[in-house]
Amino acid sequence: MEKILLRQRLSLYGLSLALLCCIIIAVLMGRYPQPGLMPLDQIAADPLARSVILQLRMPRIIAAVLLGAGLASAGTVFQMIFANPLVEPGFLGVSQGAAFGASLSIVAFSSSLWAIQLSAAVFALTGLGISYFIARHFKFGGWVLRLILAGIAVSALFASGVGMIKYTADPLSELPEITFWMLGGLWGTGWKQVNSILPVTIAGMILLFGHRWRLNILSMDDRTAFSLGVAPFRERILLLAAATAVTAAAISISGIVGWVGLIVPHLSRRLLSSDARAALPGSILIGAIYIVICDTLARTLLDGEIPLGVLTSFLGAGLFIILLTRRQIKRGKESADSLA
Amino acid sequence: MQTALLNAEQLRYRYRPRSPLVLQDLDMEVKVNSITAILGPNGAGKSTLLDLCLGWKSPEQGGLFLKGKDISSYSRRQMGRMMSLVPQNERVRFDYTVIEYLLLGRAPYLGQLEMPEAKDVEIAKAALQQVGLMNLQYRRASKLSGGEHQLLMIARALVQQPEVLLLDEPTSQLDPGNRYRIVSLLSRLADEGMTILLTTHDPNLAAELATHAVLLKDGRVIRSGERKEVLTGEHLSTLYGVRMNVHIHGDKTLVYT
Repeated sequence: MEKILLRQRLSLYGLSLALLCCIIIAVLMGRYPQPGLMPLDQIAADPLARSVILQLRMPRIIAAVLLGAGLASAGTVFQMIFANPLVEPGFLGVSQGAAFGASLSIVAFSSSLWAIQLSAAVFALTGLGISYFIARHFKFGGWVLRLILAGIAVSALFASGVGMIKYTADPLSELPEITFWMLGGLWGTGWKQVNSILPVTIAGMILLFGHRWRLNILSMDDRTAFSLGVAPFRERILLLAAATAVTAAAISISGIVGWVGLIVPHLSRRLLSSDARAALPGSILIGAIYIVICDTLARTLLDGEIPLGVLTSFLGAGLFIILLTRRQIKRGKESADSLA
Repeated sequence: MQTALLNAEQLRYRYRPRSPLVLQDLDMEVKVNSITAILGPNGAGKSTLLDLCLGWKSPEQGGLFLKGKDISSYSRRQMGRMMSLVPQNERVRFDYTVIEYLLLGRAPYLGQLEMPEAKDVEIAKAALQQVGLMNLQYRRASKLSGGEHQLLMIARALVQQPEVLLLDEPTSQLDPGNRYRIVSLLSRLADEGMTILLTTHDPNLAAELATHAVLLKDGRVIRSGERKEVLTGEHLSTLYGVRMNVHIHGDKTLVYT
């Protein structure tokens, strides 16, 4: 046991170090003064270089860390609470709900950051709530199947709502903003955006992190969790609400960034352990690393910017296929029937 | 004379208002340090009765009393420390090691933000020792055989250090070898002072293991008391609706149709 804990702890230290390295490289990487890494002596000598780093790259990298850590921790919580490794916030109407809320705010209320965030958060929670409500009233299938089907239906409803809003939106001012939401990206992210999501994402993640061992119990059958002295319904709602709030806050500045919440928890369980004591911090670190790398590629790979959501989905889906077709590699392997 | 640890008084339960009664006017007594078997055909209400004892379901009428106090007056954590459940078809959902899985049994002793410490690991290891799986502590819990899985479930229940162990059909899917292992383990636990309440549709399990039996049919208790008085051919024939014979040889009892 001690050996396993030591190995997990070392892996977490290693991931923390890797994140730090990624952040340093991301800070130096860009297209100023020329594509590639910025020489260190230039930072000292060139005030514009310092300004590029402090005002443009730093807030964007911190936003990438918060986005990746937030989506991955929310994904871990969803997968554990629904006891299904195929679930992530995007599957249960949360992401599409947030997109609908943001679009609605842009068109009907206000394009201010706070209005978009609030509306995204409210509709993200609404999406989760409706999925849950519909799943309870389905007349067939197991609980997880019903929930995923309900999530697909609710996501489709919100997607059609977003389509309707786009159809009526002003093509010059409102439509580009909504389209940004659908593609996902961190361009234009400054300290103001970072500060606006910092309290919710950090508070939400602290709450989830504090409950990390408890997540294992909440992944058990209702009756068993109850017999262990837990109030499963109340605790699950608390953690799902926190995970949804973190997701909604993070994607309120980035738009929809898919696959992170699905793929990163898998990687973390493979690398560390299925026990959420290690899997959750692992997800937080791997999620942050993943988005920092993807966002750095998104802003440096081509002359123009590649939408972040496009990159994360492309890489995430590729990784997912590899993981599913090479299930026997390493020791972390979910039982096949848990995917059923 | 043994005193009652758990009492059910005039219990009535139905799934939904106006649906048929699942349990009606049910009285039951589980004595300290006894092994009580709730015996009955499929659909008799055995698992429902277990759920009521656990507090998972609430009776429409009547009450359940643990050490003389209504179980609804205990907090969830208090209940988790006094009573533990070995469910019938529990699946290990994620790829935990045996020891990681066992530690979940410490939940009633830990606050929402607390995590198991070295002493909890020692308790988990002691439970593993008790069920004879010490050599498997780092194996994947989802990879255990049927018999080992059931022993793991009992070990997790023991990690709760309960006073009453509830088991739902503990041997229903096991081969004779594993069935024997579970029966021996439960007998040993009772010898060490544990009170056990289990459901089964197998009268031979009750005959082999139980000190007391409750015969449940259509939600009513048709007979309860000490095993030797309850498990007779006549009572079992009434319970199952077919002719049942009870053959006693020395300290062994065999029930057959």
